[in-house]
Amino acid sequence: MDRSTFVRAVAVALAVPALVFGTPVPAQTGPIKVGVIGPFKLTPGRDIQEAATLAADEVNAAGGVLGRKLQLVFAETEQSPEKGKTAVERLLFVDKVDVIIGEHRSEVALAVQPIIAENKKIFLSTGTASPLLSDNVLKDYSKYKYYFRTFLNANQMAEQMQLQLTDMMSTYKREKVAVIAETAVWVEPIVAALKKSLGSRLVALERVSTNAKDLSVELSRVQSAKAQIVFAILAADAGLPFARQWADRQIPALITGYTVMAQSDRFWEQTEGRAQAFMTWKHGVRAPISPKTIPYWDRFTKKYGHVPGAYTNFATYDGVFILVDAIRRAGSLDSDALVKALEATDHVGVSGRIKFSKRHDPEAGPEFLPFTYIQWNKGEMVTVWPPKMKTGEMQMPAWIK
Amino acid sequence: MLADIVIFGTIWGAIYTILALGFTLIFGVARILNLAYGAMYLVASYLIYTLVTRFGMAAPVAWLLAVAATAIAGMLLYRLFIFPLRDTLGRVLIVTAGMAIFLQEVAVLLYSTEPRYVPTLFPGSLEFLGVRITHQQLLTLVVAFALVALLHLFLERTRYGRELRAVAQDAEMASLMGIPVERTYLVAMGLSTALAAAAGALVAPFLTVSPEMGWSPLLVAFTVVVLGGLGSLWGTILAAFIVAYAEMFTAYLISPQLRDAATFAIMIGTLVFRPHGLFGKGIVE
Repeated sequence: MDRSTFVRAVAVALAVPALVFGTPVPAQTGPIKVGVIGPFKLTPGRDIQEAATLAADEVNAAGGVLGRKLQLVFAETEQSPEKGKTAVERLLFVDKVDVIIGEHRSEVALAVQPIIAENKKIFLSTGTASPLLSDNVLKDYSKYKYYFRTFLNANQMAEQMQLQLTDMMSTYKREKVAVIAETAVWVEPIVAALKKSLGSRLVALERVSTNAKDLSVELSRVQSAKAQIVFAILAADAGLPFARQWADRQIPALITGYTVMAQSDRFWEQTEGRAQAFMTWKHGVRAPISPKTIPYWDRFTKKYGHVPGAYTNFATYDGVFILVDAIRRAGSLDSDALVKALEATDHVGVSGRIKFSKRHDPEAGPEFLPFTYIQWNKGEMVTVWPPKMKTGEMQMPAWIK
Repeated sequence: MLADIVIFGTIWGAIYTILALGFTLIFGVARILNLAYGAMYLVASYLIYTLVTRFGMAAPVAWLLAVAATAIAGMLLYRLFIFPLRDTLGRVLIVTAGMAIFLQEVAVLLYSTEPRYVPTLFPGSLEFLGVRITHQQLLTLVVAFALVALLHLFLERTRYGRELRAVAQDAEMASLMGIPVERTYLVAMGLSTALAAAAGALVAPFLTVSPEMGWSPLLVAFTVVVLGGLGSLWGTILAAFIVAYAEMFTAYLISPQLRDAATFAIMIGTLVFRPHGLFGKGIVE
């Protein structure tokens, strides 16, 4: 044959194998990339990171899923919607993750939810209580069906919180309640529900900025109004000065509600013991919520040298396993198949039994996700509510009879 | 409620006096508007936090060390960044503002935005007029008065103090009389920073330490100096208490979120209606 034909023959001979074998096989054998977002320098974010890492390690040790390992890709959001969007875009377009989980602040989740939805990737949030996130699932299912949450929304929290508050008011015969709530989007449904149900028994309502350093004025007003119980809703930094100043001023009111900083194992040290008798809802306690809870708690403590802290911990750990379970049942990473598989979830995790409602929020109630309260007593977090889960008795602050 | 306003107004008045005195020292003597002044307050607080919680140092030692270290840092800041530019107010403003932002970001990098606590020196509290005051807050009052008295003695009785006052009155004349003007500026800067640091050390235990904590003190210091006018110790003290009580009234009777707004209003109002302040020479000539 002449030279040009020879060259063409060689080219074809080389091209065929290249086409058949050389084409990059689309990651069917590479790791499954799970994007994890959150404010990792803060306690709730640290819990997301640590719980996700432990969960992924356990999944991989058991062989991974669909024969592939999980690879976590972390992206810091710093509680900022702008930084959150940048982080998510990086995960989607540069790291090319298959799913995204995590986040603690609703403002960030609301900002990134549309971006992830438009790119048809699963977004499983493990914090972020704003009902607006799951409202979107109902309002525009075809766009937002990829969104799921392994944690209660604020409406559900409000219902459960009111149960505890009512119980506390009748047990301790205290009728006058003050609410101190941060100004953040997820708080609104809870404040509205409290106003409605308490009526005239709500003697003071103080709103503080999320990074307030000084709550002296609010505490003075609460004291002037003769409140007997203070219901705090503080997911951000204000929880620390709140506890310190409440104790220093010896405000004659019991504390309940939800103070995220009080859920951290460093809270006792940070308040120099002023946290004595401080109570907060805590999602994630060392109690037999499910048979998996205490073993997980101990494994986590052993690995990291400290106990699980914020609510995001249990929600993230369960989230990873729920995702893995869904991937297994769907048999692929196709997002539409994953949506169907996730909707059929009925998973017993460390936080209880998780089934998703039509809104893609978890079902609430004692047979699903129990709502537990802890109280600080002599340096330890003691579970004090609901009565059948308690590990100790409720204490009064030293200056209240 | 009124008791709260009076008591906390007095405590804050004492703190603001120290803050304002530091600010007026460097502005009155060297005509330098140091926007990094609040950052010195921040640096001292974080230093105390680090020394006590990360190095286990005893609190009083940490305080003294932090104030001294911050004073040195302030003098370095002056020598390296402000001295070369001090003829142009605009450049000084930009450089010191830049320094303040830089230090804030360093704080975020090293400590994150999570608030830190500084332990109290004296636990416990007492009740006065139906309000619980902590021993720490009482200590603040005592220390503030002591610092004011010490500063007064320094300015009246020591050589450095006299040089400071001379340079403040007329730098050129002072230099002709043989007073080392540059060294005086340096001393003023060190003192000024030490006062800001002392204020930070006093406040940190009953609030918290976080990266944006430097801006409020700067606003307050500036407002008090504008209101009180330069050159009068008593003017500064009175102005500090006026600002403190105004803030308390606003916070308690209107809204706590408007506290800084009240301070701003005083500053702007003074600049518009009485630019030379209540007493002494004004910042605006």
